[in-house]
Amino acid sequence: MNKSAVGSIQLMVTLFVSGLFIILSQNYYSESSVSLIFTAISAVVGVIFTLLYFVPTIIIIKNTEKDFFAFARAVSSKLFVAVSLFYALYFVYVSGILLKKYADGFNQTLNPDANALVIVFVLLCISVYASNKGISAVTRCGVFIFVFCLISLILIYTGNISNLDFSDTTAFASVGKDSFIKSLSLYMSLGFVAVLFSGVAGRVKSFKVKYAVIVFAIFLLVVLLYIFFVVFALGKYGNQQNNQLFLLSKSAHFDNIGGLDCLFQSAFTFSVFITLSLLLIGLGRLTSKSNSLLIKILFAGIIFAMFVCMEFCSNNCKIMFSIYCFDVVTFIAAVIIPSIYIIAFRRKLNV
Amino acid sequence: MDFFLNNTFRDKTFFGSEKMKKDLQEKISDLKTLFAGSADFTVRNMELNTPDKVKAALLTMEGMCSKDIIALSVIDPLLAASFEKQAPDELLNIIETQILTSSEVVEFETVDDCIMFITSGFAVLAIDGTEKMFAIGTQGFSFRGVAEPESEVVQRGSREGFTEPLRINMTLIRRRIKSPDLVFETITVGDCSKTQLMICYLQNKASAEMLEEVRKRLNECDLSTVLASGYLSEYLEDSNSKSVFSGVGISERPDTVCGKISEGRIAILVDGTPAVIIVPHLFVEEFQSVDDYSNRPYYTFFIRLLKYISFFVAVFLPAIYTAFSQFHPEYFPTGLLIKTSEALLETPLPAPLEVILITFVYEIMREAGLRIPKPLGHAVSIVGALVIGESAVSAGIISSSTLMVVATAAICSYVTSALYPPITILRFIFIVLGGTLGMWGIVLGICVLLINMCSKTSLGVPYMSSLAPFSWKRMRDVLFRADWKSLAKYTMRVQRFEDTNIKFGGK
Repeated sequence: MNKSAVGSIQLMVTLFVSGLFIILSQNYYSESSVSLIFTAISAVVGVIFTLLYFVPTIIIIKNTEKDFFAFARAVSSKLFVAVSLFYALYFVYVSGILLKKYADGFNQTLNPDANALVIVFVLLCISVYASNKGISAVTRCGVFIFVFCLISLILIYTGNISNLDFSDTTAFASVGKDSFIKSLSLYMSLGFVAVLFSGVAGRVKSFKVKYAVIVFAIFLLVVLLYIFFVVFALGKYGNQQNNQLFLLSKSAHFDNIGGLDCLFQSAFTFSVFITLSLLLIGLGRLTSKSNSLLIKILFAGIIFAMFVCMEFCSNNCKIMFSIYCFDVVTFIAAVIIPSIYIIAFRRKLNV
Repeated sequence: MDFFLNNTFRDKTFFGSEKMKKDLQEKISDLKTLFAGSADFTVRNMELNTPDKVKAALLTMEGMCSKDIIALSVIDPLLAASFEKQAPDELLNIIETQILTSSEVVEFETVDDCIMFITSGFAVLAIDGTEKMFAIGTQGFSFRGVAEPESEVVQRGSREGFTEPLRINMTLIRRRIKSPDLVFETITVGDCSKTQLMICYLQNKASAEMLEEVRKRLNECDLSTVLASGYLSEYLEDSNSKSVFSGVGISERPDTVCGKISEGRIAILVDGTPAVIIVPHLFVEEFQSVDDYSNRPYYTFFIRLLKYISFFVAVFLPAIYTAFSQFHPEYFPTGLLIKTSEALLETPLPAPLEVILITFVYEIMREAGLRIPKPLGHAVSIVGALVIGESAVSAGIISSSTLMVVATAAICSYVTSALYPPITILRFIFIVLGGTLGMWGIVLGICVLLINMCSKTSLGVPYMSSLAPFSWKRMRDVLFRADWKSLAKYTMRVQRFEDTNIKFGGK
């Protein structure tokens, strides 16, 4: 009986859940000039790029059976202090953005009068409980949420089949370079999943790349279907609105049975919950006491403070919400720093 | 044996390996003191037919032994035999090998053993001049016969259920598994009750680590009295797995226990109760029954699907109804919305309070129906049906839609009767969450519940195994039941489930 391990599929499926609704809650087709084909191409390119973000960590895992955090700590504990500080800031930043998006979405779609601070506080409390139970429990929970999310999406999509209207020919209009880059950058924000992977993959037993590819293929299919339904089911109305997936869920119906937006709300909450739990586990692993509840409460407090700052100073720190800024920092965290470690400590990698 | 008089020692029955005295009268006197002159402690004095007329005594507990067996297989042969002059130890040897006709004779010489044998229904033979004694198997107490367990009724399959005496329960298992690999290990727990347990397993299937852990946990049991299996359940639960769900299975059916044992599980039989403990115990097992393996696979799939749906309905339906009617009425289909709104408008209480109230009243009636003498049970049913079903709705105190929702959930909760306690508690929690925070509250509650269930382990095996950690191989007997040809290819041993870690779940 070895120590409690996590299966490859289990972890990848959990990462899928954490990335799914974060991506789908963004608007990819907000400009009427953007074509369906180019949006789809940018989605394909974006998802493939994101998959490449996993490569440095996979190299480390395959050679050392440690995730990046464990490897970095093992090769140089002094350097790890600086690296862990960067990743801690990154995780807190991602958590803040995630919670801001969630709270905004909650107010826009479910209850405009709800107090965002209370919502975030409750969500953080639950995430602290989950993260304290460990990566095994969170990834097992991720399996159920994955199934729920897939069923929800299938219902939302199939409920929109009767709304499809192929008369909108602007969907196939040409596109400018700027629109393509903007669209691509949105998909590449999924890269934060690779950073999560580099922090929590240490418990994975015999990691298999094929599972990552399969999960991302499903992800790509979901995104492409999303684009398809936004274009042809929502049409021009959807182009002018925020939360297009919410609109899709709202318009989905089977005869006179509708109300599928509650599935969207549930899946969105599940997804944020899983992501926050993984982020807190990752933050815990950056410290020497990864199992300490106190550490997780402390980080949850910092994340809450970050959210409060974002909530009340959102006009003064727009750069923080910029998708380009997010992508750059994610690229550094997922690719640049692990790659530097691989090159600098390649001898230890081969041991 | 002066310490017999010391109450501290007597309470703990801590006599360890203290030997009996050689003098017969002193022996009897000490035991009488020990049993505090209890009325059921009986002594049959005898004089053996030896040249020096050696004295002997047969010590029993009245009602625990069969008088016929004692007379025929112990007293008659002893009094009929004539012995030459011999040392008491040799005399005992002759009695064992040549005189006694009982099939079960155990030699011992300590006080602890003496108490244990007498209180277990053995007749203890003591003779003057030696500390050695014999326990003779003469148990003959009355007990309930082997009958079909009321809590686990099956359509096809055996009608036999466990009963109270341990030895009969052992036989019921042995008759079904005629293999030398089937092992029964005896452990005694309870400082006062000295309850006998049998750890039952197949030595070629069960994990040695799991067995060791079970022994360790049972030995750590510091209870004074163990009267039922439930007393031990909490000792067998993994210490890091606090949950409303139980990681310890209970069954009263020998066929179920045999099936579990053949998958590497460990059964613990407790003397005096028909409920046998099975560890490790997983969530998916709550939805399996013996009938599943007698029915055709497609029908088994249908039944299991029904069970899973019923579980979800039992836990979540009242909560979702509360959340919808309180916060999200737009989610009701139009026709249903109109009828539900009309019904709710006519009642004085808000929907969450109404649901909680009816559920609470239902639970009271259920408990009353369970405890009330059977002839009065009909009265409770009539009062429940008339007062709640008819009068409350017609008086406009509760709405018919709420009543229907609660009734549906109540019926569904009996489909998986073993899960009734967690279902009831979770139902109340989710009604409160749905009534105060709407669907969002229910979703948050599900998050906590899922994490709790997914972190739970039973002897180190993840409680949600087969589902999470997910395994296609293990799914062959979860929702679908593969046909017997496939199932026969290999046995799923429980210790080989993914992420199993006995030390992780241990204390």
